[in-house]
Order: sequence, then C-alpha cells, then structure tokens
Amino acid sequence: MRQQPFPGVVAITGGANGLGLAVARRFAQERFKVAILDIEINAAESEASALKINGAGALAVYLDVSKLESIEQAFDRCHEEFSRLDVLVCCAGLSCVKPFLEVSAAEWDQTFAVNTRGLFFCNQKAAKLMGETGGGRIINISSPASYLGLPFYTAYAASKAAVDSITRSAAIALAPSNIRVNSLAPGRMDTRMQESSERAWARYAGVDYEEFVESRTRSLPLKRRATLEEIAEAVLFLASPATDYMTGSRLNISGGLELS
Amino acid sequence: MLGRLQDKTIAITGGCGDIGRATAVRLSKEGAKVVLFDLDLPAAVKLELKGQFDSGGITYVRADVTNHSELQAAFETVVDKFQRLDVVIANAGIVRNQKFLEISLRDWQRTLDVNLNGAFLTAQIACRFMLKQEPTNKGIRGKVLFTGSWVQDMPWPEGASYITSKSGVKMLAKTMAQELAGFGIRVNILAPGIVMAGLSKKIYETDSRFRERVGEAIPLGEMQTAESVADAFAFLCSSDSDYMTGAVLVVDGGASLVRRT
Repeated sequence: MRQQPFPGVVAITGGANGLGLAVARRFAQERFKVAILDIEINAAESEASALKINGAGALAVYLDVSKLESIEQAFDRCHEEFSRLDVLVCCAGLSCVKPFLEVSAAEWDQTFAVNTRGLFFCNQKAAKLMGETGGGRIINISSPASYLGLPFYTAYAASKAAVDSITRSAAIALAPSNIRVNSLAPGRMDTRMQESSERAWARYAGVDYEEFVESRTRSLPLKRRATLEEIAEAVLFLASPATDYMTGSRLNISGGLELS
Repeated sequence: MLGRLQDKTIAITGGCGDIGRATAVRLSKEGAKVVLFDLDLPAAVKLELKGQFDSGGITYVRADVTNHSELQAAFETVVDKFQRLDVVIANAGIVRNQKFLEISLRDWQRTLDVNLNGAFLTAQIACRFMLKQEPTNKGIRGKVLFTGSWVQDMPWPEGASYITSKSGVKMLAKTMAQELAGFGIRVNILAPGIVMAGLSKKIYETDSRFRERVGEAIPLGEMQTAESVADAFAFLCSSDSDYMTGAVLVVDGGASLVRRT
C-alpha cells in the first residue's frame, strides 16, 4: 500500500475565514503547503502572506464554488504552483436561515449551489488531480444539522445531508484510486457564519439574540461551543496516516449535539 | 519527547487479544501507562511485550468482565497503583457465527454476557472511579471508549448474537454520553471493520468463501490491521477528541458503505 506524503499539499475551500482559516493555519504548522481558495480573495491573500511570513508554503486563489469554470481554474492554479494535491478540505459553505414557508427558490438554489453542487465538483476536480499522483484525502465539512429536523434551517440541513451522501458515494468510487473520502461534522462554533445565522434565527423566533445564544450553548451536553482549533485538529487527523483505513465515514465533533 | 498521552492511565479489557495488544503498544508509545485486563496472560504475549512490561509502560491485571467482584478488584488495583484512571477501553468481546435457527440459549447468553453486560460493568465501575477524581484543566474526569463494530448498524450473515450485542453497546454508549456529559465524562465508540484478528483471522485462513466475501465487502479491498484500530483509539484517548461525546468513529475501510441484498 502506498502512503501519501505527510505533510504534503492541501487545498482548503473557504480557507480565508472561520473554520477554513483555522484549518489552513493548523496544516501550515504541520509544514503542509497550503492553498487557500476563497471568494474573498483579499482576505485569502493576506492570510496566505501571513503564513508565508511564518515560513510556510502558501498560495491564495480566487474560488467561487458556485461556478464550474472557477473551480476548474482555481484547482489548476494550485496544481501549477505545487505540482500535486494530497488533501482537499471543503469548508466553503453558506447558511440559509428562513422559516420553512418563506424559503424562496433563489435561496434554496444558492444554498445548494455552494454547499452541495460546489462541494461535489471540488471533490471531482481534486480527485482527478490526486489520481495523477497516486491518491489523496478528501475531507468534507458536514453538519449536525443533517441529522436534525430544523424548521428554520431546512435548505442548509438538506444541503449538508447531501454532503454526507456524496461522501459515501465518493468513498466507493475513489477507493481504487487510493483516495479516502470522509466527512466531519463540527458542533456549534463562534464564526461569522454562525453569528449571522443565529442573529437571523433569533429574529425569526422573536427572541433576544444574546439569550438565544446562551440557551443554545447551555443546552449542549458539553455546555460549551467547539473551538476552531479543536475542529482543525480533527481535520488534520483525517489527513494523517493514522486514518488510512478510514473511508466513507463521518466524524462528529459536536459535543454531543446529535444526542439531544 | 513527551507523548500526546504522557502519564495517562488507560485500562483495556480483552487487552491480550490482537486489537488489545496493538492498542496497548500504540498508547504506550505515546507515553500512556496501559493496563491489560484479560482472563490470562499467555506466555507468547509476555514475550511479545517483554520490553514494555520491563519498562512498566504496560502491565497486566487478571480480570473476567463477566465477574463483577473480580472486575471491581481489578480497577481498584489500577487506581491504587496509578492514583488515577484517565481512560477505559471496553474491548473484550467474543464472536460466534451461527445460523439463527441453530443458536442455543447458552451461546446467545454467553455472547451477550461478555460483549454487552461485560461492557456495561466495565463502564459503570470505571465511571464510579472517574467521578471521584479531579477534572483536568479542560474539565475532563475520564473517557470511556467502546469497541463497537461496523455491523452494529448492519446485518451480516450468521451474526445475530454478535451484532445484537454490538448494537446494544452503541445505545449504551449514547445514553451514557448524554447522562454523564455534565460530569466531565466523555463516552465514544470506535467501530472497526473486518479486522485480521481473532476469529476472522482463523476463518480467513481456512475458508475461501469467506475470503471472497471479504474482498467484495470492503471498498479498500483488504482486511483491516489491528494497528489501524490502535491509531484511531490513540486519537479517541487524546485531548484532540475532547469535544467528542456520544459519537461513533467508523474506521472500516468502507465496509459499511456496501449495500448487500
């Protein structure tokens, strides 16, 4: 069995902010060459420069995952720079908080264009590149929401349930190419996306935002939110030789959220 | 170099089996003090782990998971010696593959006694010790891990007693995780696939039909090594998994992805 290089080259979609950025920093610390793929190219560039100052190989690339040609170009650019791709982490995502009866077709389509279709084509493109060098790892960020009934979060939860399904199919399709595909479901974190979702959620539910956040945190079995660093650590684990026999699986780092 | 599990005390039931030994070696390499619980210590195991026994990285305590007082005494020995129990791995298990119509009540009960009741007793006794100790700076008093199986969610021919026991362990773990979350105890399951160990290893070596079935059943095309199970246990023992509770870590080469009809 051929082992992938560790550290190698990692591409992170949505790598300029929140969880994606924490993942980029953790992999850089492990001496990976890091490609930050993000629609916010300015943020991506400044984060890549910061990693370079610390001695890491880093690259910022514009990526709009809702556009196929953008995916094509972004991954080709990474490949041109680093000549290979060993790990893909799909963090790019958006949330859609709307009461069930009010979700519009445009909101539904946009959620799926980014979270589901974008992720699928990133997986597909990365798999082609990984196949050229003998294999790799794909880590898709899912969500506890995909297991839950969430009337304000229908489109998001459904888009993430599709991510779990894509992960399973990809695992079988890509096993012969020596590519492992797994997903990771992080619990509630303090990110920009989480904050805007919870603000909208509290507004629709007619409750105070601070109280809403406090009660959602208190209701977690572990009584606290996940830190970005601990989720990034688990992403690194899924890229490490320790998980070479793991594929098509889902890692829940959610403080027991799915249990309640 | 200080390991990720430096000076953590970890007890593992079924410690002398293939998964138990590989796990103990892996954990002790990362700095843990590992205690093997098992019915006996075979001479071959003593020889294989001589280095670790000599250095004190691994020790052995006799324990039968179906015997409450013996198990209680074994945990007391560990806590007396190390003053702490950070992780327990309820790993002892037996497999008996039999056609449903041919399972005797005695065989059925024996499998459930070891795999389910034994896991329950191990977890309950360990938790009572853990609840008495001071939490770490991250608020954790202890971790309870179970060896589940990919078949806990999926039927496999002639596996009724084993699968029922593993499926029971899964709900035991989730219920415990929920009840004990507020007390600093994490509970998780590692679900391996078809491991080249114990009974599977024997059947693999003698039954060509089994070999064919295995080849078709595993997307990664090869049986699992005990070392790959050990790698995953090292993660679940470490603080890298502190935000996980009530979760199942499936490391099965994709075996559970394949639909059988």
